[in-house]
Amino acid sequence: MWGLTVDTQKDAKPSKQQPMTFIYRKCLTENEIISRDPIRCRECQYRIMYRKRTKTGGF
Amino acid sequence: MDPDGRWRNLPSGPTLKHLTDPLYGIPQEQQKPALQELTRAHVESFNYAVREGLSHAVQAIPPFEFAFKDERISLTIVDAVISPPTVPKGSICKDLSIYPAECRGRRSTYRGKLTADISWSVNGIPKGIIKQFLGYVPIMVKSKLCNLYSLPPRALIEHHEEAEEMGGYFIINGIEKVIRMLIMPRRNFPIALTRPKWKTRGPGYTQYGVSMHCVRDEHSAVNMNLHYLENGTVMLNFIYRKELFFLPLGFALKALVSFSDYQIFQELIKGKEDDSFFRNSVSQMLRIVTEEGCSTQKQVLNYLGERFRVKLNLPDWYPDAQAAEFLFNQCICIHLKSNTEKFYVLCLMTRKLFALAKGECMEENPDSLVNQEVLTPGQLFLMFLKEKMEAWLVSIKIALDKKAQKTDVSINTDNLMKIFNLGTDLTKPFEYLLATGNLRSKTGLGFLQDSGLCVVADKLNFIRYLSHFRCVHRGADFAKMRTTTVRRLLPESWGFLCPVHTPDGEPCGLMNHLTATCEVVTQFAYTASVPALLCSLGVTPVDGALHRPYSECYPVLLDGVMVGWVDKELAPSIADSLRHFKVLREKRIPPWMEVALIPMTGKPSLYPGLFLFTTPCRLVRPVQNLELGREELIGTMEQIFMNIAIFEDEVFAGVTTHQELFPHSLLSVIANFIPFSDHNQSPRNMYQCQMGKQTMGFPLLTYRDRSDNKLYRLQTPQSPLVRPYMYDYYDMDNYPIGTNAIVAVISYTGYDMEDAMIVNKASWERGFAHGSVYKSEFIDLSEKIKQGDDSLVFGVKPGDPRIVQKLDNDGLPFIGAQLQYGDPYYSYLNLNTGESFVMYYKSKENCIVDNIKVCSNDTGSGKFKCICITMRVPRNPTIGDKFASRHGQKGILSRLWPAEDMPFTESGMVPDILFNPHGFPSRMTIGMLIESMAGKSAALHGLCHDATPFIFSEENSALEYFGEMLKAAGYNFYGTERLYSGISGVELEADIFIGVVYYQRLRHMVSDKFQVRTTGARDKVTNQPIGGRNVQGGIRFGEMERDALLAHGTSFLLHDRLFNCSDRSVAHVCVKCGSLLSPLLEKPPPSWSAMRNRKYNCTLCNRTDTIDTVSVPYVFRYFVAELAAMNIKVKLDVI
Amino acid sequence: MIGQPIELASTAIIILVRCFTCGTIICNKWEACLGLLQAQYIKGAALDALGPKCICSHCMLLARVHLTEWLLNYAPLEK
Repeated sequence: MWGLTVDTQKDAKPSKQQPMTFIYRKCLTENEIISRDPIRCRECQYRIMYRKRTKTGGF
Repeated sequence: MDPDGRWRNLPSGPTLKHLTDPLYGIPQEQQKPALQELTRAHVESFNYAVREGLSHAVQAIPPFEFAFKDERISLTIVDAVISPPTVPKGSICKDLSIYPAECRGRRSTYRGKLTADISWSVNGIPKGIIKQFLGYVPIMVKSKLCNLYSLPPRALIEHHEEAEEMGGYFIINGIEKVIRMLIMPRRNFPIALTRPKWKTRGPGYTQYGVSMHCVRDEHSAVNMNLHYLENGTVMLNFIYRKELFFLPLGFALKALVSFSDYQIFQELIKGKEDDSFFRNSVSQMLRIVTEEGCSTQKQVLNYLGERFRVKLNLPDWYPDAQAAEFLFNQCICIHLKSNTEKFYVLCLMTRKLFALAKGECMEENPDSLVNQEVLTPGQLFLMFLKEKMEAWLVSIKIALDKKAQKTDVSINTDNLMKIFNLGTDLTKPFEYLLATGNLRSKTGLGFLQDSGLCVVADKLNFIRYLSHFRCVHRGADFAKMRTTTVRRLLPESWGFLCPVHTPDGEPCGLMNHLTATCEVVTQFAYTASVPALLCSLGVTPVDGALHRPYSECYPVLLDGVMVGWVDKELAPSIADSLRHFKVLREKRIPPWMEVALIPMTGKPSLYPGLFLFTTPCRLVRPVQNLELGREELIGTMEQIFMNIAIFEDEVFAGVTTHQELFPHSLLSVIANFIPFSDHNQSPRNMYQCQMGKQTMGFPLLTYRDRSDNKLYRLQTPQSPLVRPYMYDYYDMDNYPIGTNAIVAVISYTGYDMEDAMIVNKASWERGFAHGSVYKSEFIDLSEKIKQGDDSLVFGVKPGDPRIVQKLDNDGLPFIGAQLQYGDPYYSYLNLNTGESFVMYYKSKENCIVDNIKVCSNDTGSGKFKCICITMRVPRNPTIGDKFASRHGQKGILSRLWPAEDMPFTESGMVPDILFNPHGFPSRMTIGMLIESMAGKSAALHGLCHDATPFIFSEENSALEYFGEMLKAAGYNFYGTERLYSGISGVELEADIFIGVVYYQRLRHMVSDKFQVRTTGARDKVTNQPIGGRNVQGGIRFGEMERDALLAHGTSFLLHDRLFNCSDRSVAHVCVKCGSLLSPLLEKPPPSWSAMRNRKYNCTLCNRTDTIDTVSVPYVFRYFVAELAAMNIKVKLDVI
Repeated sequence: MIGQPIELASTAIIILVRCFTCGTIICNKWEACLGLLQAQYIKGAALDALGPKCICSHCMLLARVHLTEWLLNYAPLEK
C-alpha cells in the first residue's frame, strides 16, 4: 500500500554542509540536531523525539 | 484474592453524571479495580512465574552432568533472577528504566535481563558459583517486574500510558502480544476415558483408560495413562521427549514401594475384595513381574533402569537403579514428591480403571469444563523458560566440546565463564515465541499444539482489546476435527463460559470467553495442614485401619494426593464443614478451594470420591452462599453437585444452598454491554458480540505515542443513553464506540432495501459518524544500507528541484502537510558519496502528516536514521460504509440523502438514519425496538436508562415502562410519530416508529475495499489480467460466473469477458501442418531494409503460403509450448 | 508540567457547534447545561428551558464525551 520508488541522483561533490533541524521531545525541550548527531534529548536523554511543527512549508 | 465485596458495590444504574462532574478528566488516586480485574489472570500468573515459579523451576532442573576428559563435570543452576527492563549499562541517560510507551513508539521489545547463578563442580567437588547473563526475556506490562507496577493513574499518564492501563500483555517489536489462555485437562485428577483409537496401541488393548495430567508446582506437565488390557492387566503409558513408552503396571508399583506383593495386592483390591476376576487380574499383574526375575524393589529398579537408560541420556556412571529413579521422578505422577504417594495414586487410578472397564462407573467427558482448566500466560512463560534454561546447560557442553577440539581447554573459572558466553542466548527463542506464537520446543511442553499460542492485542476499539484477555481457546487441533462434540455448549460451563460470546463460523464453540465474574486461580495455597484437618474431621489416613468395608467409603484426594478414606455417611458433613471453613477463611483453607463430593449412587455414574483442589489455573466464580450469607468461589467440578438459584423465588429451603450474584452472571463482559439482550433472538446477541469488536471507536488516549500500523478513531463519540449498568461498572465511557442517532423505521425511497440504510446528508455534513485512520510507517535507513555502509541519514540536497517546498531541510515532510499520490515523502542522503534519494508517497488516498517520531537505539547513540511517520487519513462516512446498532443489526450506508427530501416529524425533526422495517420481523431484535423507545424517553427526560437484561418481564414489561414515560413527555405511547414525506410534504398514512438508537460505525470501509480496473497490469506468463486489489488487479471471472453466462445464452458477453477482455492474442498457424509453433518470421538478409515486410515461414513445411493468423487465448499458446516440452504435439485444424 | 491538570478545564472543552440532526446551535448552551447538570437538575424540562427542545439536541448535550479533558492530561507536543 505504501509503496515507494527510489529516485537517485548522482551528485559529484559531496555536500558536507548538513542542514540543521529542530527536533523536539515531550519534556518540551528544543533540541538542535545535526545529521551526524546521536538522537537523544539534551535534557532528559529520552530516546524518542518529535518533529516540530513549523509555520513554513508548502501548505 | 479476596472475593468478598467485589461485586457488592455495583452501580445501581447507569448515569451520565460523571461526564459533567467537575472531577471529570482529572486522574484519580487509584486505578479502578473493575478493569484491572479483567487482566488479573494474566498479570498474576506472570508474577508467580517470575518470582516463586522461577525459583521452583530452577530447583526442578536436574544438575547437568557430563564427562569431559575423564572428569565428571556437573553444572547446576542454583538461582535465577529477571530484572525489570532497563537500558544497558553505560548508556547515556538519566533514568535507566525503560517504560512500555517507549517500546511501543520505537518498536522495540519490552524485556528484562535474565541472570542465573551457576554452580559447577568437578568430580563432585563444588568449585564455585558463576553469575551468568542468559539473555533478555520479555516482561509483561504491569506485572511486578514492569516499571509501571502499582503506579497511580497520574504517574501512568506521565509515562504516556492510559490512566486505566491494565497490562497483561508483552511488547515485542512494538506490537502488543497476548498469550492465549488455552483449555487444558484438569491437573492431577484421574479422568476415565474411552477412546476407540487406543485399541490400535497393541495386541490386547481396549478402549478403556484412565488419564492424568500431572503438573508440578512450577507447571511442568506430563501426561500419564493407564490402559486396560483384555486379559485384565494394566499398562502404564507415558511420554518422555515426545516418545511414547509403555510399562506394565506391576513393575511401576513394585519399583515405587518396598511393600510385599501381598500388601500391594491388598491395596489394589480395596473396595472390591469380593471380585474374583479383579483379584485374579491383580495377582496376574504381580506374577508377570516375578516371572521376569524381579521380586524385590531393588531388582525391579535395576531391571527398569537397564532398559530405559538408553533413552534417558544420563551419564555413564549412573547405576541402573538411579536411572530408574530418574525416570520415575520425571515421568510418573510428577506432581507427587514421595514414591509412596505415587503408589497410592496409581492404585486409585487402577481401581478407577477397573470400575470403568467393568461398567461400574461412567467415563468422564474430556470436553466438559468439569475436567478442564486453563493454561495461563505465566504457566507457558515459565515452562518455556525452564526448558530453555535446560537447553542452555546442554549448549554449554556442546560449546565446551567444540572448543576442546581446537585448543586444549582446562576447566577453571575463567575458561568456564568464556564458555558460558558461548551458550545459546534465550533472547531469540522468547521473542520468536511471542512474536509468532509458534512453539519451538524439544519436549512440546505437553501441549497438543505448537502454533497460535499468542495473538496480537489489537486496539481497534477497547471492547476488542479487552476481549483478548477474556478469551479461552480450546486449542488449534480441535479446529480440524470433523465432529461437533468439542464445540458443543455444555450445561456444565454455565457461569464460567459465556454462551453468547463465541464467534460464528469456523472457530464457533472453540473460542469462548470467560464470563464477567469468572476468575482464574493464580495463587498457590499452602496445603500441608489440610490432611491433618481432614483426619481430625474423620478421614482415615491411607495407611490407617478402617472400620467399614472400603466399598462403603469414599477415597479422599487433595490436589492429586491420596489422603485417605472417609465413611459414606460422614462424607457430606465433612464436605460441608470444609465449605464452611473455606467461606469463612478458617483453618487456613484457601477461599478458592474446590470441594467436590462425587456421591455413590448405586448406578454407573461418575467415579465417587471426595476431591479437593487448591491448584491454580482452575476456573472459579463467585456465588452467594445462602447459609453463610457470604460470597463463595465455586469451581467447575463442584458446581454440578450444587443447587444454585438465580432469582429469590427459586430458592427452596433445604435444597438450594447458593444463589447467583445477579441474573446476568452467565454473560461475558462484552455480552453484558448489549442492551436488553434478553429481548433479542439469541443469534443476534452473538452477532453483536462479534460486531462490537469491529467497531471504530476511541480505543486509547495516547495516539501520539504509538506507532501501530493502523489505528482507528471516531471523531465525535458519544455515550449511549440506554445501557446496562455493567457499561458504567467497566467505565466504558472513557473509550466510547458510537453515536446516538435518531432512527426512523421506515421504508423510504427504496435505497434502504436489503439491510441498507439511508443517512441524512445534513447530519453527515455536521460531522455525524466522522472518523479517521492513523497509519504509521516506520522507516529505518539502516535496513537500506547495502554493506557496512553506515552513512545514510535523512536530509535533502540543497536546491533539489524534486522537493521544492514539499520537504523540510531534514528530508521529512512538514507536520500537517497534506500528502497526495506522487508527492515527495521523505529524502535521505549518503554522507560518503553525497548521493540523495527521494521517496514518493505511493498511496492513492490523501493523508495528512500527523506527527513524526525520530527514534534512537537502546543506548541513546542512534543516528538520525530511524523515523516513524504517522499519517492521518480522514475517513468520513461514504456510500458503502458499514454501520450497526448494538443488536446485531448491521447495514450498509446506501445514500447520503439530502435533508430536504427526508421525511420529517411534526416538530420538524429529520431523522439521522432511515432503517428498513423489514429488518425486524425475521430477526426479532425486540431489544432494538425497546432501545429506540428508551433512548427517546431518555433524551426527553434528560435521563440515562438501565438496559441490563432480565430486569423487565411479562408482568413488568419494558413497553409499559417506556411507553408511559413517552406518554408523560407528550409523545405516543408506542414510540411512533406522524411523519411527512420530504418529497411531497404529504402526511404519511402510517405512524412511523422513531427514536434514539446507539449506532456504531464498523471498520469495514469502502475506501479499504473498492477494487476497479479498466486496463492494467497483466501476468507475465499467461498474459491474463492479474488479481489483487493492491496491484490494481481485476476480480476473477470464475467458473460459476461462466456457468451463469452460459445458462443465459449470452455467448457474446461470455466471449467478450473471457477472451477479448482477457488474453486475446493473434497467433500464426500453419494451415497445412496445423502447428502453432512452427511458423517463424523469416530471417532477413542484410541487404533488406528494416521497413520491409517480412513473411512468416513454417519451419516444418518450409512454405510461406500456408501461414494464416488465428485469434487464440495467449495462455493457449503457452500451453502448446509446454506440451511441446513434454514431447506432445498439438495440431490445429484450421478451416 | 507533564501530567498536571490544565487550569483551563472549563474553557478547553470542545463541543460541537450544531446538533447533528437538526442543526440547532448548541455550543452556546453547553455552559448553562453544564451548570444545570452539575446542580443535580437533570430534567427534560431543564434542557427544554435552555432552548433546544428536540430529542436530537438533548442527546448531543447529554451524551457528549469530553475526551479532550483526558487528552489534556498528556503533555502537548508544543507549548
